[in-house]
Amino acid sequence: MEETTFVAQLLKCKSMHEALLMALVGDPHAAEDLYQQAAMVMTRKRAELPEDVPFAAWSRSVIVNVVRDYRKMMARRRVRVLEDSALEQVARAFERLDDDYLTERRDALRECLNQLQDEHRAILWQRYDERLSFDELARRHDRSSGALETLLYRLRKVLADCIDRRLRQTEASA
Amino acid sequence: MSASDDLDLLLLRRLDGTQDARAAEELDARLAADPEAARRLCLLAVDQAELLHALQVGAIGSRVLGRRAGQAATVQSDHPRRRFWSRRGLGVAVGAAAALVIAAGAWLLFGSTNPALESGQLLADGQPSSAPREEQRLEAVGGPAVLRLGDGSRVELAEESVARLKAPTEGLRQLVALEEGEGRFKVTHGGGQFRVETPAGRITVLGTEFTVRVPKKRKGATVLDTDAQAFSVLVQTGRVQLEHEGRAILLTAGQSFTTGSGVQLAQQDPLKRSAGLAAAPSPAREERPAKPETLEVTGILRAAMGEGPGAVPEFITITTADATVYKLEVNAAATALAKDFDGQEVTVSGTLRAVDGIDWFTINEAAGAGEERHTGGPDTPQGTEGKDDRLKRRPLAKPGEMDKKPRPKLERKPAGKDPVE
Repeated sequence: MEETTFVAQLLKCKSMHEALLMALVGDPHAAEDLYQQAAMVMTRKRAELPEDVPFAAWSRSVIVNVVRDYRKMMARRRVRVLEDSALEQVARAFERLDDDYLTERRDALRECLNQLQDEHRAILWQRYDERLSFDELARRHDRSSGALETLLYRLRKVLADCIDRRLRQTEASA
Repeated sequence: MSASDDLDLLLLRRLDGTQDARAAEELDARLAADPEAARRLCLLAVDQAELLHALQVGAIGSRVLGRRAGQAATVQSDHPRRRFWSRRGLGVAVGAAAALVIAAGAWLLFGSTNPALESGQLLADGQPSSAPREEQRLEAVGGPAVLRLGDGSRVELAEESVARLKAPTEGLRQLVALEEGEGRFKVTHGGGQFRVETPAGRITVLGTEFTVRVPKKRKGATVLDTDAQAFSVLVQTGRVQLEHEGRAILLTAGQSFTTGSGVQLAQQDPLKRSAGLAAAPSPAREERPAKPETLEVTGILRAAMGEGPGAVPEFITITTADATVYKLEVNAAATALAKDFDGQEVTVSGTLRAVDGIDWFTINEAAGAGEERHTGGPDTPQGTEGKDDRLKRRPLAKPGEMDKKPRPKLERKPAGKDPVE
């Protein structure tokens, strides 16, 4: 694949790659490291990409292989990563996601995020951007660690439900 | 709570890395057997990836701060915005940003689509201005100046740096020409691309934080002078596409690109080498600090080894828990480390040298100078004892342990005062 096209495709698919990695490894730190690793592999192997194979599918297979290698490495340390059958299932589920649907979902997420209170957005920011642990969050918000953990997942669930609701409304009105 | 609510919570915990081993095992079995559960995991993962991007958007970020017009506006150290202004990762732009104070009145302008000065002093075509217009020659005077652009992105111009805001074309939403000096850009996500043009190349981004430096013009210099064709780019977060001499180069967080005499890369890195540019060591620069900073750095080591027996690493990085990426100078100590501990968490001690806006970390090689130690103990993998006494190695956190055992943040402390001792 021509270099400029490759870079453009890599950028276009970055969010999807990050999401796939998060789903597969269940560890945001590891997902970030593995993304860099996968991008390097893709860069190195881009010449091997057959013309008739879509970049998205090829890049997903690269990522799945990188995760398999990671799993082997972690197995030696007795750290569990997604079993192969589950890994296959999740990778297949990603393949079936529709681009248009995902675009609508992203739009819905932004709208739902804007409906949250400032403090709640701050908690999401601190958890996912600043990478604070629940203990650190608890100190910052003068609450217990358990309360912050419960609140965070409640916020995520509220967001997810809000997104689903909006998408259903869009679908119904279409 | 319904079964689907329960599943969502399990999946969210998995994505957050806070699931215990038993729950992870049960969820794996369910994911393998239930395509709907797998699909739901995918959707929530997409939401999480998007959430990270959305939270980084300036407009949302500002609301996260709880800042509204008329509120006090001094940047506090314990503030989410700190990540933008003081998380340099690498580079020299940090010092100025750490002391940044945003003028209260600037926030009154927030939400406007016109560019506005948020802090510092700016000359527009030689006249003081807080509302610069397109095509004006903008120069930061008396210190760094922070501008909020029409799309909500921000640029911090270092003192005496010169830039122009240009009318966007070709589907761009923002176009800034950095003529000389240094600009640090925090770009919001949104429709269209954000572009920075320099005399030697241009940088196109989607949403990120990066620093561009263009050398100051010498008196009598022409555009054909080598220095006038030089610039460097350092990406703090996100990614940028850089175009230089007809080539497109992808830079991601922690990576940098520097031109000098001809084309040079600031480090040997597979992503950048793939662009087909000749790699060369970074040349000596005038900006080396007289006394390098000594640091202890804990993070995940990544190395790309060359091929064949006796191969040396082509590049080595250490990524800390706060996502700062340290590029290691490839010396004997770093090579030994790369061969044995690729992909593992290590703690090393050494010095940091800022070279043209890029920090190079050099591991202390001298025997006895080492603050690095091998911790030993029950968590230490077998067979590593005595391999490298300068190394302190820790196992990676297991999924589910993220909060029970938080990864250490970057610790900056004087050598020889390690509290572990």
